[in-house]
Formats: sequence, C-alpha cells, structure tokens
Amino acid sequence: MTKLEKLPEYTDSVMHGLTAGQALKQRILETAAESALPNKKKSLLLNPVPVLCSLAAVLLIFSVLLNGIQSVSVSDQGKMTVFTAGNNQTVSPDISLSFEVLMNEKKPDAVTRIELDNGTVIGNPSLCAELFTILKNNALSTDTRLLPESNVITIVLNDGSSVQVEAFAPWLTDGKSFWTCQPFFDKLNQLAQ
Amino acid sequence: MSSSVVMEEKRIAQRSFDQLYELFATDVLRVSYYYLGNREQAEDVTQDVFVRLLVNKPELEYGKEKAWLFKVALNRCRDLWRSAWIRKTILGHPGFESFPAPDELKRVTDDMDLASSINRLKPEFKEVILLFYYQGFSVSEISGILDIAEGTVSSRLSRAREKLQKDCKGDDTL
Repeated sequence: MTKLEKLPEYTDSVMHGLTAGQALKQRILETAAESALPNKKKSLLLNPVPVLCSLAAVLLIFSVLLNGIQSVSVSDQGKMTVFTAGNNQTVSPDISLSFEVLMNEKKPDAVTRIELDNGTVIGNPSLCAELFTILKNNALSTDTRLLPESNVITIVLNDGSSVQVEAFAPWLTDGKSFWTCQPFFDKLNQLAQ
Repeated sequence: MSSSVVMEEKRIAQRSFDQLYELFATDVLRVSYYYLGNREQAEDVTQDVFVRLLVNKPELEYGKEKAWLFKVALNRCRDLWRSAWIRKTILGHPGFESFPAPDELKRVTDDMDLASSINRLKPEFKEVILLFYYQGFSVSEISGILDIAEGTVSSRLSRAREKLQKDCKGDDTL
C-alpha cells in the first residue's frame, strides 16, 4: 500500500488534535440562528462607498450650482448615498439603478442579460429570468462587502439600465465569511453539467 | 400549522444536522486545513458550510450529503485562496503544523512531510488528492463535486502524484 493510499491514517496521526468539536458546533448554531433573525440588519454594497460618496458629492455640487437649489440634506439609505436637494433626489450616477429598485420593482422578465466578471454572459431570456429570481430570493440574505477580487454580477435590463451586485464575497477582517448568492452559482453549475 | 408540528419539524432538522456534523465536520475541517494551511480559516470554512446547511436547508439525497458538503467547502476554500488577503497571509508561510496525539509525536514526522507536501500542491491538484485518497471519493464522484470531466480528474491525479514524488525527493513509496 502506498503512502497516499494510507492518507486517511496519516491524516489521523498528524491532525489528531484537529477535530470539529462542540465549541465549533455551538458557533455554527448561533450563527445560523442570527442569520434567521427577520430584523437582522442586512446591507448590500453595490460599489465602494468612498467612490460613491465622491461621485455623489461632485454631482451635488453641480446640482446646486446649476439649479440654484437652496435647501440641501444628505441621507444614507443603505449603502447608496442619496443627496436630496429640495424636491430633487439624485442617486450617485455611476449606478443607473439601485439594487433595491431592481429587486422591488423590476420583474424577472425585465432582465435581458446577466454578465459575470469571469466573462460569462447569459442572454437566454427564460434563464435570465430564473437566475434573477434566484438572486432576488437570496441576495439580501447575508451581509456582503465588496472585495477587489469578488464575483460581481452585472444585471442588464431591457430599458438599458444596469446594476452590479456582489455575488460571492468573503469578508475576512472579522474572521467571518458570508455568502450572498451561492444558489445562483449552484444553478449555473447545474446547468453546466 | 400547530406548534407541535413546527417543533417536530425543527427536531427532525436538528437531528439531521447533528448527524451530518458528527459524521463529516471533522473531515471538512481537515480538508479545509490541508487546503488553506490555517486553522482559523479552516474552522471558518467548516462553520460556513454547516451554517449554510442549516439556513438554506438544501434537499440532499441520502448518501449525497458528503459530496454536497465537500463541494461547498472546496468552493469556499478556493474563494478564500483566491483572495489577496489569503495569498498575502498564507503563501510562503511555513505554518502548516500538525496536531498529533501526544504519544505519536515521533511517528508523525514522516507523515507530516506528506501532509505538508499535499498542502503545498496547487489547489487543483490538492483537491483531487484529498477527495480521492483522503475522502475516498471515486473519480466519477470527484468529477461531480468539482464540475470537471472525469478525464481531467484522472489526469490531475496523475500529475499530482508526480508533483508529490518530486516534492518528497523521489519517494517511490508514494
């Protein structure tokens, strides 16, 4: 028998002390319970906040200069910084559609194309609709942050607008990782088989 | 739905989780550790896998749970490996350590060489070696878990063995 064939035995000897015990199990149960809380704060980062803030600030300055609007207030709605000037509301322009609007108001059949950052483009209407529904049902289920190498999905609608959502992002600084849209990728994998 | 029915459903779900955790959590943890070479990250992956099992409640066929757990775990490991943070922290770091039983410290040295060599393999080779030799999956099952052709699995296994032999200085007992 080769050493590799004895790998389970070797592993037991070198990793005898590495076992999934009750402490980890408890951590899992607590995390799952937290995930199931209905009022748990959920955030979805569409773009790096500093970029959004900068762009929105520039837009606000232009808006104030051009329209002579007198009262200006700034509010933070989720991760989209929205500047309200009088009755005019402007969302940072590099995202033409907010994710909330996309999920709440747009129907699956409004999606004409889905693009992944690995170059995959999904153009089949019924498949787009199905994948969008999966995203809609899962995307807000966990906390997400944007990382430079995370998977980003671009959803293009039939009115020409588009929105980018982060689909699968580990966030490591607090030692935790989160899923957003793994079911989306599960479906893609299933289709690829 | 009556509260007793809800409680019964929860009891069944909990039992199912308990069984799966008991059966596979340590294996998931160890494979993740082989992959990442970092205990905390391996525990996080294990946590993520089982939290997902609890939260998403996937409909898993009897006997297919293990494949699902490893598929999710390896996806997470791969994702972590790809991230710049992990690369900076882990690559080149000689921190792959053993956790032997107290009376096995001497015998572990040889075994540790093999474990470290596996840890140093590229992810695509590491995955097939761990699934095939450590977890006993067939080539066909690995093909399903990794979403690659069976031929690719076989070829990766072969290349992985060559790399291990080279890394272990021509150890022909591999």
